[in-house]
Order: sequence, then C-alpha cells, then structure tokens
Amino acid sequence: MRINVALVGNPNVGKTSLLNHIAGTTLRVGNWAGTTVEKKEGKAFYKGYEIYLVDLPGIYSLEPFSEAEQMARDYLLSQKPDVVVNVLETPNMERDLLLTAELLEMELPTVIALNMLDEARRLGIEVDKEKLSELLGIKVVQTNGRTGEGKRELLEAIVQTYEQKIKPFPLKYSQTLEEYLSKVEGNTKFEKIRKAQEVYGEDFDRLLKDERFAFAHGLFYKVVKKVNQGAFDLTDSLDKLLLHPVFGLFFFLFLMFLMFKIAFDFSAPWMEWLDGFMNNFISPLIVYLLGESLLSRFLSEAVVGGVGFVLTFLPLIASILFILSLLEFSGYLPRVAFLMDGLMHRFGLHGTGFIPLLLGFGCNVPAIMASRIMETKRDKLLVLAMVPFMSCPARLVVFSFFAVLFFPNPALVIFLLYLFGVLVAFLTSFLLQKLVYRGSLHHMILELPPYRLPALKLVLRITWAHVKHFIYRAGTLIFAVSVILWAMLNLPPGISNPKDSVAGHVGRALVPIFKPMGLEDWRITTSLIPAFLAREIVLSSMAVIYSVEEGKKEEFEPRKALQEQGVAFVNALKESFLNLLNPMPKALEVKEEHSQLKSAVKNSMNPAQALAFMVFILLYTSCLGTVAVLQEEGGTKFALLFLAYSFAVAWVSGVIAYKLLSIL
Amino acid sequence: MLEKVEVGKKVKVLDIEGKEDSIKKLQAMGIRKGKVLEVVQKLGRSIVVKVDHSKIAISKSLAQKIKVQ
Ligand SMILES: Nc1nc2c(ncn2[C@@H]2O[C@H](COP(=O)(O)OP(=O)(O)OP(=O)(O)O)[C@@H](O)[C@H]2O)c(=O)[nH]1
Ligand SMILES: [Mg+2]
Repeated sequence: MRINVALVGNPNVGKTSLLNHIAGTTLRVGNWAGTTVEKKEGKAFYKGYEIYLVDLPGIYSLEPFSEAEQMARDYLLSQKPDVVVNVLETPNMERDLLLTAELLEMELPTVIALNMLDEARRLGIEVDKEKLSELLGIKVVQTNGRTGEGKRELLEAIVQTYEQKIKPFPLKYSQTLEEYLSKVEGNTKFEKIRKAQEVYGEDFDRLLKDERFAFAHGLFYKVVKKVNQGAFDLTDSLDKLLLHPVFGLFFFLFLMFLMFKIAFDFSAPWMEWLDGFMNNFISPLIVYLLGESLLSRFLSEAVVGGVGFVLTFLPLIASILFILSLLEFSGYLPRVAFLMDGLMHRFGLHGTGFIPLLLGFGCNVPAIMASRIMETKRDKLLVLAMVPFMSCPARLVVFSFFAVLFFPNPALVIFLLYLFGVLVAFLTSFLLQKLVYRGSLHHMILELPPYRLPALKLVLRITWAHVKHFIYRAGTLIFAVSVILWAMLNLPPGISNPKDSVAGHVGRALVPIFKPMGLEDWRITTSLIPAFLAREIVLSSMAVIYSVEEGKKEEFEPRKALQEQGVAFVNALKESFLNLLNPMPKALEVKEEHSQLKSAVKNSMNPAQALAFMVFILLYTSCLGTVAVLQEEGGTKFALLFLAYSFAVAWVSGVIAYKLLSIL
Repeated sequence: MLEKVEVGKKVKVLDIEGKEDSIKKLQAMGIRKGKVLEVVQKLGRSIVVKVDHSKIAISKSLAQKIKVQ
C-alpha cells in the first residue's frame, strides 16, 4: 500500500531536513529561504506502507506570488495527496499558522509537524500540542530536523491519519465571512472561498485576509506559552557585527580569503600525493605487470593519464564544496546579500542576486537553479546570464595547473582570474539591461534566518554527494572522452608521430580559430574540443596527448614503491593539517621540479599563451551540466544565445590577454 | 514611515499601503498592522527589521509604504 504525502510549509522551516531523515535521502538543505526549488521526493517504509513523500518549495502563503506558490498550490489541487504534512518552525509559529489556515481550508487529511523543537526550547517557547490537536482535530507532532527526533511519531501520525481519514475540523470564520461563503457553491471551504473571491472581489479579499490573520493570531495565543522572556539571542549579537556597514564588509572579504586559503592549503599536499601515486606507482605498476604492450599503454596513457589525472584534483574540489556548504548552512548567505545590496544596485539588481552568484563558486548548476529566488523573470534572467562567469572548482583545477607552471605568483593570477569572471558577469548584466531587459527593479524581501551551527555529518554527506558525482563523471564521461581521444591519437594504425593522427588533424584544423590567442599548438587546440563537455577534461585530454607523445621508462619495484607511497601519504596527512595552522597561504608555491606532463606543457607554451588559455576556459561556458540547466531555466533560445555570447567574450578576452602580455 | 526610523528603535505598524504582491508577501511574512518591528540595521538601499523571531531585509522603497508609530 502506498501513501502519498506532501510536505508543505514556509521556507526554511526544515521540510527537506525532515525528508532526509525519514527517507535517507541527501537532498539539498541550506539555512536560507529558497533552498528547494523543485519538488523532490523520497520514500520510507513503515508498518507495511510505502510512504511516498514529496518535498515542495517553501511558501509563505498559497496565494500565487511566484512560481513556488503556484507549484505547491497546483500540486495540492491536482495530485490530492493522501496526507499533507504541514511543517512549522516552532519559534515562528504565529507567522507559519497563516499558511496552516489556508491549508486547513482545503480540508485534506493533514498532520502538523512542529519542527525546530530544540530552538523553541532554547527560546523558552512551549507549545501545548495536545490542545492544538484538539482545537484543529488533527494529529500534531514535535520534530527536530537536525537530529531526526520525532520522525517515528511523524510516520505514525501519517499512517493513522491515512487509516482513519482524519480531516481537520471545518474552519469557522466570523459570521460576516461565513455569510458570504454560504451564498456560493463549493465542496470545500477552499472552493467556496475561490468562488466568493470571484464574485465579491476586493472587499471579500480584505476581510478574508484579516480573518486568516486573526485565526492564526488567536490559535497562537491559545497554544503557545512563553516561559522565558529575554533569553540571550546569539543571532542578535552576531548581527550587530556581521551586518555592520563597515565591519560586516571587511568580515566578508576576510572570510572569502580564508575560505580559499584553507581550501588550497588543506588540499595541496593531498593533490601532490595523489599525483605521485598515479604517476610513480599505478602507471609503472601497470607496465610492470603487463609488460610493454598496447594494452598497458592504453591503461597507463588513457586511463591513468586521463581519468586518474583529473581525479588527483578531487581534494581541492571537495575542500571548496565543504567550505561553501558550511557557509550555506550557517545562515550567513542572506546576510551577505544584504551587505551587497548597494553594490548590486549599481548594476541594476538587488542583493538577493548575490546568493546565486556566491553559490556559483561552488558549482554553477545548483547556483543557476537558485536564481529562482529572484522575484521577477527579468531579475532571474539577468542572474542566469551572470552565474556561468563565476569560477567553479572545475575551472580552478585548470588554473591551478597552469598558473603554478607559468607564473611567479600563481595565487595572484588565480585571484585576478576570479575577479575578471565577476567583472564580466556584471558587465554582461549591465549590457543586457541596456539592450534587452529595460524594466525597472523589483523590491527586495529577504528573510535572514537565525545563525545555525552546521551539522557536520550533513555537510560531509553533501560534500560526499558532490564528490561522488565528480568521480562518476570521471568514470563515465571523462573516461569515454579519454578513450576516444587516445584511439584518435593512435589512428590510423602505424603512425609514428601523433601529429599525423586523426586527432592531430582535427586539432590542426582548429588552429586558425585560436591562433589570435597565440594557441598554435595542435595539442592544445585538440584538448579544447572535448573540453566542451566539462572543463577539467582539458587537463585529462592534455595528459593523454602528452603521455602518448613521450613514453617513459623507469626502474620499478612494487614493494619499495608501495612503501614510498605509504610514507608520502602520512606526510600529506601531516602537512595538510599543519598548513591550516599557518596564517599565510602556503599552497601554490612555485616548485622547481616538474612531472613529465608539466615540463612538456611548459615547453610548448609561454606565459602569454597560458593566460589566454585560462581566460578562455574561464569565460566560455564549456560545461554540459550548466548549459542543460540554463536551457531548463531560461529556455533553449536563451541557452544557445548565451553559449554563443560566452564564446565570443571568451575569444575576445583571450586575444586581448595574449596581446597585452606579449607586449609586456 | 519605517524608512525613517533609527537603528535600534522599536515601532508599531499602523498601516501598510498598497495591494501589490510584495506587500501581500510582507504581510504573510508577519509584517502586519499592529505588529512591533525593531529596526536592526540600515545600509544603502535596504533595511533589516525584526518581527517576533524572524528578521527580514527589505528595500527602503518598500519600507516607505509601511506607516509606523
Ligand atoms: N536547530 C534546528 N535546525 C533545524 C531543524 N530542522 C532544520 N534545521 C535547519 O534549518 C535549515 C533549513 O532546513 P531545510 O530542510 O533546508 O528547510 P526547508 O524547509 O527545506 O527550506 P526551503 O527548501 O528553503 O523551503 C537548515 O540549516 C537545517 O539544518 C531543527 O529542528 N532544529
Ligand atoms: Mg527544502
């Protein structure tokens, strides 16, 4: 037997957290209003039932202000879930009960989950849940979305509500309002109200709104007891500093610096270790075991060289995502949006737009989805056109490879590249407003939730989900590309110089396009073709191409090598934590010795070409995932035009970067 | 008008003008007639107010429509 359940509630009350606990899913949770933008589902088994839960985006009311309310409303009306779970944030119950009133009007079987039990306790708020249950005629449970406390009770309440078809008592509004309603037809109160709104218009509307507020207010005072006035509120004290016009801004800049420093310094030793592990252990081991053959060449060049090389960057990606998740969980994100409102205004957007932009540093795909928090279509499209220029870890991977190789101060170069991306984003928005979206700006309304300590387990789980996705991509897409590229490099059979291979021909055919950027080497242009699918492929491709070019031979002894790897691992572990204690950025120090790939790349490019290459990778939207969500959110035409635009901007900027640096 | 209230002051909402969606949303978020608001911070074009246990950042252009005492 299957029970369909819909989770409905105000934004940021913990709906998704509850679902994650009940169904064991890893759906996006974040301490800001608007984390969930699409309906998501999960299921649990309880007492022989398959309980199928749908998580809807948070809404303040069922009145359709935006896509989110529309979606929730449509879902409830068309899908008629067996049970509606109305999740409330207990400390904000008075506000949340407005939506409850609207839900009760629908007269569907309903359960109320009073979430954030812990915070309510801390604030000295006590709810008489038995009384609430008596007054409304439905089951009420108390839950904690952080720990999962109360999830059994919630499941039990869902099953009982389903089995006994427990519907709420019909709502009674004032006599005047009920009189209006008695004059119209309809099966439920909700239907009658809809009719009455059509017939009586504004007067009725105003009355209805007041009545709903009065209902929420009245109910709140009947069931909530405040036992402890004036409890110390950490959020208020922190906000004095963090929302401060001057200090707040400095703090934000410092935090961004810290974030990248920690991500780099912590991951650098691990990346180095992985690199050594692949090149000095796995690769020679394959040759050692299989001898010199086509198979061993394939394995060490295409698989280890391509896929393995990209995997060495996992620590960096994981660190950045981990730190960004911490930020998202803390509740700091909407505060930054407030601080940045002034700056954003100069570019015709308000602060809310800063949230998707900031998320873009983690991964463009969810950031593009987050653009739905923008209130109007115009604002949303503007943000959509900006996010892809926010440099994500996949780009950082490419930068960290090239910048360290070609520049004396790689950290500065990478910082400037990030900044340049942001600049292009703002210029794009500016341009679009001058040319296409002339409309004026909407008001900003943004909730600033209390600061919340991130639940470490959850942050780790979410980071792991990202990492798994990256590994999956390495195992599928990047693997396939590496294999195809490797084959193309070795075809037609019998060629002695990869330059004459199929890949070599394709690459050389592309040279005229990239020549103005100084990129004349077929190996570079060839590696750019498959990079359209995902940016890090540029590196795996180069690794394959260059490793095909120069075979390597070294003495190899498996036991000794394994021992060496073990020692190196312990050192990496030690170093990564020591780095965290060091106040100055330590990673990205330029090293003298280079791996074979590095020296090969270094010999085939000069700094000007490398910079042009990085600028191109930064700006051109070469990421399958990003283009797909852009199409979803902005339409096919938007996505294609944007792709063309980003290519043009990337090309022009690349050429300018090359020319500038060549002169200097 | 809420826009003019100093940081740290508490005021009571007398009336909210307008019928547009943003106003409706504000009301659904708890900023209604009779509620007490505390102005937490003001910066540039926006203002943060606290109502009950929630904090909301709103544009000053919107705050202009909230009459307070
Ligand atoms: N202290 C505390 N925090 C909670 C509880 N439940 C959820 N949270 C936190 O509240 C924040 C919001 O949780 P979400 O599950 O994303 O909320 P949501 O209702 O799905 O939010 P939207 O998708 O934006 O509507 C997260 O930071 C959670 O960790 C709880 O019971 N206690
Ligand atoms: Mg959610």
